[in-house]
Amino acid sequence: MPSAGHAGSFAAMGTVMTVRAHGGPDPLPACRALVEQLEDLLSRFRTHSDVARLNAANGTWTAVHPHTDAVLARAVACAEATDGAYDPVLGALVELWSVRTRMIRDLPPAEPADVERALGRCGWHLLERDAGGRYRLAPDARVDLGGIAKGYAADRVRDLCADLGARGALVSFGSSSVATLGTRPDGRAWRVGLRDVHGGPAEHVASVTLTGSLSTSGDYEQGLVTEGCRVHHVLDPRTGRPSDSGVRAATVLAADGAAAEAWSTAMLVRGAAWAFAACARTGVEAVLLTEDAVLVSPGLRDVVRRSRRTGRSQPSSAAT
Amino acid sequence: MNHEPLRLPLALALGGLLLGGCAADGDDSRPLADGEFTGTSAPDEQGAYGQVTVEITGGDIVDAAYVTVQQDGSVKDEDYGTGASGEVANEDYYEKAQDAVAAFEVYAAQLVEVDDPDDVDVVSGATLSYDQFVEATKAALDAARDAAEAGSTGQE
Repeated sequence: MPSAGHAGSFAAMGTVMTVRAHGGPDPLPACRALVEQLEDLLSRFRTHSDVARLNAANGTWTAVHPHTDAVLARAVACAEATDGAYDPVLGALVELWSVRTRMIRDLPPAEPADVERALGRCGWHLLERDAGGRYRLAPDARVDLGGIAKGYAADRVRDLCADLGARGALVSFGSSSVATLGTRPDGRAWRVGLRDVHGGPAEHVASVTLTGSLSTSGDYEQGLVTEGCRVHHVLDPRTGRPSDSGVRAATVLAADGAAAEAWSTAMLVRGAAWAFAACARTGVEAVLLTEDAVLVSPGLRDVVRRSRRTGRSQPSSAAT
Repeated sequence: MNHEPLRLPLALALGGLLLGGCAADGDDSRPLADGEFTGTSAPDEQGAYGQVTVEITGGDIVDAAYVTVQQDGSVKDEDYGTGASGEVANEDYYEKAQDAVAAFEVYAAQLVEVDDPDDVDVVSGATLSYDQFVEATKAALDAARDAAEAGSTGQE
């Protein structure tokens, strides 16, 4: 008798997590409980969360759960590795540029003076960890783990599926963070489509086989154009403004989902030349979509395929 | 301007939601009562909340509408992205709002086993935001199921 497959979705962290698994019992209830626990720890919107308590601690040391410690430590390490292109202490800018607020109140782009003030309250160097795993944040600064928590959570859910006996699993968190275990039920590698920046959520320009974790950052969801300025949720810590690097979407394959998420954000912010230099230096692999091109890091040449239903030009390999 | 595009994809998305089993809080197999049912999400940080109204006939969703109610009670509905005159003031955002609603169907569709090995298992892109939409939809459908069990129909 073939082993049962399990599939389901649930809402979490402002989006939807979808889990497919085969082999073992249905992992969905346990996955859901785990993600709920992580959101309870990591959401800046839940007043009792570790992150909210840290943000409200007014510069005092705050003890956090081991999960929170793991994500914060990973976030700081990624901020250092990306030279601050990914930064977990951008809360003041995130609030200033809130797309939802701008949509509801029909606001123009933020004023330069307000951007300057917010920038002064940003930067991962404003966050400290002591030897006991407690954290301290400068009083006016705000941690926002929205750029890394989904990647961490997708990995933990994938690990949970394995612990429960699954032989294969595919976890998608909001489509932006994907983690895999083993293979598909037919024994082939999981294959992930990369969304066309000009198309809907199901339209992809290329696809890649995945054993591990992947993250995509793009400027085309949760955004709007106001007074000619494209306002979206990925901010450039150098300028304090929404990124405008020419890269519209960055997909990164990395050893863990949190790192993949941080690097995809960093590459969207810094652009293609910086991104491929980082690939060569660090071993992460990336597919970048610009307005009209698909750029693939050298290590992915053999696993990225062009999707059939696109009129886009062939993927071109990045210069080495 | 034509408001139909928001309503039609939303009805499709709700159908997909039912098939996909997203509403894990309740028992999805319970029948839906005929009538009109409304569900709301928890308020966001600005005090705005999502509200879904579904119309059910013969146990099927035949129409659905999603609106965001702001803190002051005013409604952002399918005019999302349009100005007071009804003109599309912000073409880009208007399209994104339409896409976001239509996209929900994709999640459910991904649960179907892929037969063609050339097909992808999942499509990765920028994070899609559905919090209010999902919550409100679950609440509306749970209300319809509760009504079916109680033998009543929704408010007209």
